[in-house]
Parts: sequence; structure tokens; C-alpha cells
Amino acid sequence: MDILKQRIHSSVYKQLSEAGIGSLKTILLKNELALGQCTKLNHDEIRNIVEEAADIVLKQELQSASEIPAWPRLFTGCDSIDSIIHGGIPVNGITEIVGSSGVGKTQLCLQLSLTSQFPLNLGGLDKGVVYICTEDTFPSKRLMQLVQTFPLQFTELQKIKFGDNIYIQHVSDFEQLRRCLYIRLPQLLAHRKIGLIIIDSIAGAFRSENVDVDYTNRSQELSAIASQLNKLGEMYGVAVVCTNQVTDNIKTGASEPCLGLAWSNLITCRFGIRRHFDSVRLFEVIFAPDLPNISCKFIIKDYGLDGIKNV
Amino acid sequence: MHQPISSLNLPDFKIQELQTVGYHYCTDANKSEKKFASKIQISQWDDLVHTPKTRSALDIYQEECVSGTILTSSKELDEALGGGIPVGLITEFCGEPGCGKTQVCFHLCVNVQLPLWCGGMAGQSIYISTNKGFASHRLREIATACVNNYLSFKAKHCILATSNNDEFCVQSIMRNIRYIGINSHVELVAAFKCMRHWLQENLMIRLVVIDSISAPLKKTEFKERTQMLYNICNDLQILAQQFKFAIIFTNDMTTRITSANSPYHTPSLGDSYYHRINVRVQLSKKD
Repeated sequence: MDILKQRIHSSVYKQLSEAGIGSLKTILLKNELALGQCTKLNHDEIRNIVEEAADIVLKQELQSASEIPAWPRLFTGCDSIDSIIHGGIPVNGITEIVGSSGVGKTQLCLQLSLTSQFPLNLGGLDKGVVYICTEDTFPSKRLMQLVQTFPLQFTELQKIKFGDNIYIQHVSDFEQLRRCLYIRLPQLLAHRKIGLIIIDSIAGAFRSENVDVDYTNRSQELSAIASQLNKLGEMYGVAVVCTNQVTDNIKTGASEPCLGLAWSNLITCRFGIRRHFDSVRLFEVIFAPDLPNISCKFIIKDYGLDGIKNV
Repeated sequence: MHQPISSLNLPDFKIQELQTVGYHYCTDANKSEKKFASKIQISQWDDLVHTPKTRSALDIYQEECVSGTILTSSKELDEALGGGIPVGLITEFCGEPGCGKTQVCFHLCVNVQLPLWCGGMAGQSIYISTNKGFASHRLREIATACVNNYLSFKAKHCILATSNNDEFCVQSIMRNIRYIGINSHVELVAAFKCMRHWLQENLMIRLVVIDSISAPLKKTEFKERTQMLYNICNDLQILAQQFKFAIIFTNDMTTRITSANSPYHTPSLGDSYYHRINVRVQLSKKD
């Protein structure tokens, strides 16, 4: 409102405040007739106020599509996966990795925690990671093993103290997750270079023993989480990865990602991992605005995820 | 029968002002033109008392035949739509995530730019993205494919460049798509307030895409949402008729429960919104 005060006549501003209009939001959401009604200003003055308010709220101009760069990518470190997803997971919106238990979602997330710290010329972001864990305990032993073995594949890589730049937070329900995203995370992002936020898993924060879930409430909660993740992602240029579990659809018998359409509508990309045969896994693009529905195979080794070309 | 002043779209205090000075009917004002303008400052008086001329259905039909449609890149869909996406109306694409709504929007932004002689409108587009789905690199891929098709079509039919402005190339396509990213419902309303200004600056706009209309409204309350949607649809349709562009919304699906307690999927935003849009196309994936 202060910016608006500077842009319009003080007498007009006075009439606005006398009418009880205290925010730009009110100016924009009320229609012009109603605004005229309560402020007693004439049509042109109302038009001018509304245009100024809209200009301030938007903070940006129309850009031509040629000025919009392609999304930066964070490489996963697994060749076959990187080759089918344009080089890596996008630093844009929310990317979901869905799959049944033990299929390898956490393994991929741990590997991303390392690749995020790689320099830009190798496909990394040269920044740290926030790992929000909603399941059991954080697999620190496996992380340590990866720290010792994964970087060895990259001969040009300088020594990095990977463990120093991974910030781990345990949350067990929505309220704790909300506080983490709305209060703690913005403070951390303002003071440390973070390139990736991982939530492993999003479904874990919404587990309930109740058979009757309040779906409307859950929808609002999921919306709040997604909008905060998008806001922080855009503000600080951070990639966001959420893992999700699968549940069985009683009607169709097929397995589908947890949290329903309410969550599916909020994410930008969905990648799935499932068992192929033996220890071979299948990584597939379920949906993404810029990728076709292709898949590839990989296997989990002690040094990380390894792509398989022909099996 | 004279039109009374009280029927005009003015705030109450303005109407009372006019009535105290002695104006009770619109025709009273026209009589003393000079004094009127200085006494009561209503700059939009002409717009207020303007009664639209009636037109016959034939006139409107003839206008529609000439205004053209935007090709969707799918012959069957174009046929089902009666030629393509119509101008001046809201066409909504709804469906589950991954069914192709954003892809259709990208295709439309490219196809609207095709020259008139091959089914396009040589127009520009405005793309309002609310869900982080605007992948400029994917748009570039689609533009490249369209240009290749266009060039091979020209070569096949031995069509020479008709004018020096035959600039249908990837760079010009990308330049003619104006993009803005929106993160909240307040920003969305602000964008629509600026829309008239944008249209006046770019008179070649023939398509406005909002992808998606439902994403920013998820956090609003039902009453606020209904009012907002009504205002948005109303304002857009008025602008679309005046400036002659097509409106595309994308909408997602939501889960409802029938009285028999079984869940089903239906487009979001409800029935009162459904009555405000003109065409709904539901996309789904074939397994």
C-alpha cells in the first residue's frame, strides 16, 4: 500500500483509507462499481488506482517466449536416466519420484544429494541440499558409503566435503512439515547456498490411522506445502524433489500414487521407479511438460545407480 | 419510455447527485450538453448511455465465418470443434495430469501464427502460466516441427514467398508468444486488470491462454472463488469480443463422491463456473 501511496494523489489515498481499504488485494478483488460505492471516487480515479495496484502486484512485465531460458537441470549421475530426462531433474516446480517400498527412491535421492554439490560444468548446481525425512531414520550409513564410492567415477572432480552441505530434518506430520517449510527453511535458504530440497516421502507426512480422512482439509494442506515449495524454489533457484509411495486402488486393482489427484495436480513432473526383474529397475517418465513417456533400466550398485543399456 | 438515471451503472452517491440537480432521465442530460460536462464529472457518460445496436443472427453468422478459427494440429479435434478453436469464446481443456493440456496450448500458440493462406491467423498470443508448466524448450521443439512442415508444404506445392514479410520461422514464433508467470489468485486478477492495456499495445493478439485456471484458485474460499471466476470470465469474454481473440483455459480434475459412496473424477471449479465457459474438451489417456 505504501508504494501505491507514492503513485497516487494524497487526497485520493486519504479517501481510500477512510473507506477502510487497507490492502492492494482488496482493491483488486472488489469490482470497480463497489469500489466507487464505498470510496465515493469517480470512475477515472478508480480506474487509475486499480491499474497502479495491478502493476505493483504483478512485479513483472510480459516477456516474449524467446527470452525465457530452458529449465536448468541437475544431473542424477546415472547415464541412462540422464539421457531420457534432458540431462537431469529440472530446477523448476516440483518433481515427484513415485514407487513402491524398497524400489530405490531414497537411493536416487541420496545420489542427488551428492550431484547437487558437483560443479556446474559437470552437471551439478554447486550448492548444498536440504533433506527432509518423514520416514524412519535417515540412512546415514548408506550416504557415507556413497560419499566414499560415487565421486570416484568422476576423475576431474575436486575434493568436496559432501557431508557438510547436506542439512537433514526429521518431520513426522503435516504440522511439523509446515513449520519446517514456512519458518526454518526460508531462514536457511537466506544464509546458505542450497540447490535442492528433498522431501522423502511426502506421503509419510500424511499418514493417518483414521479410516475417515478429511479430504478437503488434506487438500488445503497439500496446497499450502506445494505453494511454499514453488515460492522458495523460484525465489532461490532451488530444485524440489518429493518421493511418494503407491497405494492400491480398490476398484481397479492397479497401484497408483498416494495422496490422489489433490497432490498430482500440484506437481510439475512425475517419474516412476518400479521393479523390472531380479534386481533391475525401470525408471519411467509418467508425465512431464517437456518429456515423452519413455523409460530406461538401471541397477543399484554400491557406488550408486548404474544405467543398463541392453538387458 | 425514457431510460431513468437510476438504471445506469453508477455508484449510488453519483445517482443521488444527478437527481438532486434535476436529472432523472438520460435524455435530460443531452439537452444541456455544455453545462452538464462541467457540473457532473462523468467521463464515461457516452459509454454508459450507449445502447448496443441490434444485429441479426445472419450478421453474426457472417462475422463468425470470417473471423476464423485456430487449428489444434489434430484433424479430428478440429472437425469436432467445427473447424478449430473459435474466436471470442472460452474453450476449456480439462483432464488428469499428463493428458496433454499444456501440449495443446503450445500447439495453439504456434498455429495461431501461421499465415492466413494456410489456416492460421498471423496472430500473436499471450500465455499466462500459473503452474510452472511453461517449458520454453518444448515450445521451441513444437515450433521447429511446425516450421519444417510449413516449409515442406510450400516446397511440395511450389509456393513462392508471397511477400518480404514471410517470416514464419522459429525465432519469430518464439518472439510472438508473450509469457507471464503467475503465483497467486491476486496476481491472476492483477493480470486481468492489465489485460486491456496489453491488448491495446499488441493489436495482433489472437489467442490468450491461461494454464491453468484452477491452480491459483485452490487456496481461495468457495464464495470468493465463485465471484472471482465470474468476473474473470465476464471481463475476458467482453475483451475477446472487442479485440477478437480466442480464450483457452486449462482445468484439472478433482475427486467427488457419489451418494453411493463411490469416488469419481470430474473437472474442478464446479457448475456455476461450467456455465460461464463456452466449450469444454476433456482429454484422457488411453491405457
